[in-house]
Amino acid sequence: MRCSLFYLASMWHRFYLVLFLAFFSYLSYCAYCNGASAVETKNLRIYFERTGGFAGIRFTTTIDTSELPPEEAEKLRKMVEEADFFNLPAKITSPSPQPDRFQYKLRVEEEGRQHTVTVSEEAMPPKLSPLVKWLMSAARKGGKGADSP
Amino acid sequence: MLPVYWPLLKGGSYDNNKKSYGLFYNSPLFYHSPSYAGRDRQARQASSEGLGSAQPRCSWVCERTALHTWVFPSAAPVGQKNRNIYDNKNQGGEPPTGTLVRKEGDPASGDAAVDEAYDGTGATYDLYFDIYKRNSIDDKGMPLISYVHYDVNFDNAFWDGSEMVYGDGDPDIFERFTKAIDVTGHELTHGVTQYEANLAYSNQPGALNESMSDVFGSLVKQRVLNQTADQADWIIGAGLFKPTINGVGIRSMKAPGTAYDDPLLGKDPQPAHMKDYVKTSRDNGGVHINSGIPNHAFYLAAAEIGGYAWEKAGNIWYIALRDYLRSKSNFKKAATTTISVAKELYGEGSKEQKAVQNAWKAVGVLS
Ligand SMILES: [Zn+2]
Repeated sequence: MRCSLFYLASMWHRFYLVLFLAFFSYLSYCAYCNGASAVETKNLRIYFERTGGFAGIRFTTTIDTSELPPEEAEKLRKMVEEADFFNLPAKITSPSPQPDRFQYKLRVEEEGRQHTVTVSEEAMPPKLSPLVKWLMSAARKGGKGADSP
Repeated sequence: MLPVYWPLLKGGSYDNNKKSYGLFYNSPLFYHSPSYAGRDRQARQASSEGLGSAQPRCSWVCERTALHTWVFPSAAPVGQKNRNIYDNKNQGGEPPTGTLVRKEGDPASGDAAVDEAYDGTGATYDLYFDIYKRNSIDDKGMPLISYVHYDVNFDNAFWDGSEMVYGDGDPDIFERFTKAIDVTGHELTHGVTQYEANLAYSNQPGALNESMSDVFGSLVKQRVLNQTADQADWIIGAGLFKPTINGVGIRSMKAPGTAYDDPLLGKDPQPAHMKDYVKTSRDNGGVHINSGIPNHAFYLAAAEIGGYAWEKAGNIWYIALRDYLRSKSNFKKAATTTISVAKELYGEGSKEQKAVQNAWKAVGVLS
């Protein structure tokens, strides 16, 4: 079907098709170039949410390292790395949940991969704690609060 | 210096007396047995009329209860508080660490968080003992342990299963959490609930758990201020927000959903009626949101009964929590239970029973 349509197309159409293919391969080549250079700087996008606590007020923030001053971006990348974030289990909970504790949800997107972790405060891995603290202070400053339950 | 019973508290053998009942306690056969609650209540009434609270709660676990009391003789004499305040020095930790800075009978330390935790746990102990004849969290004189100055920028307070923990707040939104005495009453009541109804911390049982903590937290404050139901503000956590935040407190039992409305926090999301019940997976099914419904029911009942809320409405709720509610109890169970407790205590068709019934109808739990 497709083949027959292709053969039915006029020379002009075929010309445009070739042009389009050439342009597309150029684009993807460029994307590859950018990707290759980004591997060194690892652009990260992080979504963060804290719920629960005595107050039960929800705090969220979204961070894009490309929008941060270079030294802050570097600090954040290092915290994600030191938390071994992409190898953490998706759910980190305590066998005996405690009342009024916080629950956190973090999603980190890096080129080509993403990972989401929900973690109860009482079960927080010590290596993840600095990242959560950094994100929470960002959420507190520009927090959207309890925008929707 | 850590108290001698420290390993016991930490080890968990002491931290929940229900565990000592063995396999049977959590068995549905046991706690759903209609005769259990009745027997329990009779035993407790007998004990509160008699010497104290060390009576067995149930005839077939006497030996174990007695043994338990004998093995761990850390309980203070009946009616005697045993408060210990530890300074975490912003170290955090699971469980928290710290140095003992004020023990029972010590003079004020001059550290506001330490002294507020001391006074708050004292006022909470007194409400439970003077009014409900309960000897501390476990009704066996368990020491009241608090950690203050927990972690850095910690905008929370919690009960970790055996002790209370308070943060100092943060630079932008929250003050220190010992500042509101009802927070202390709230946290300590999580301990009482753990030893009694043991309401599961999710969905409706979780919201009931939260509501019980708000109810008795507010009653601690009302009793300290000597306020009747119509004089009280019914605000939970008044003074916890920094002055820059637009809000009177964290929750309002009188008017759920109106405690705060601020660009940084959004609007107080609490419902006051079942038609606005919030279905969510966040916060264990919205336990701090939907608690607005039973909170408001308590307020309505107390307001209709009149006088000091801790005397009648508080007593009805306390007996329901202690003797009848169980881990999976929902709002409806709380409603029917408090109505029948009101009937038992004050008579069929009494003003009190009608007030409780009207309250649960008004919030849409009963039709
Ligand atoms: Zn609570």
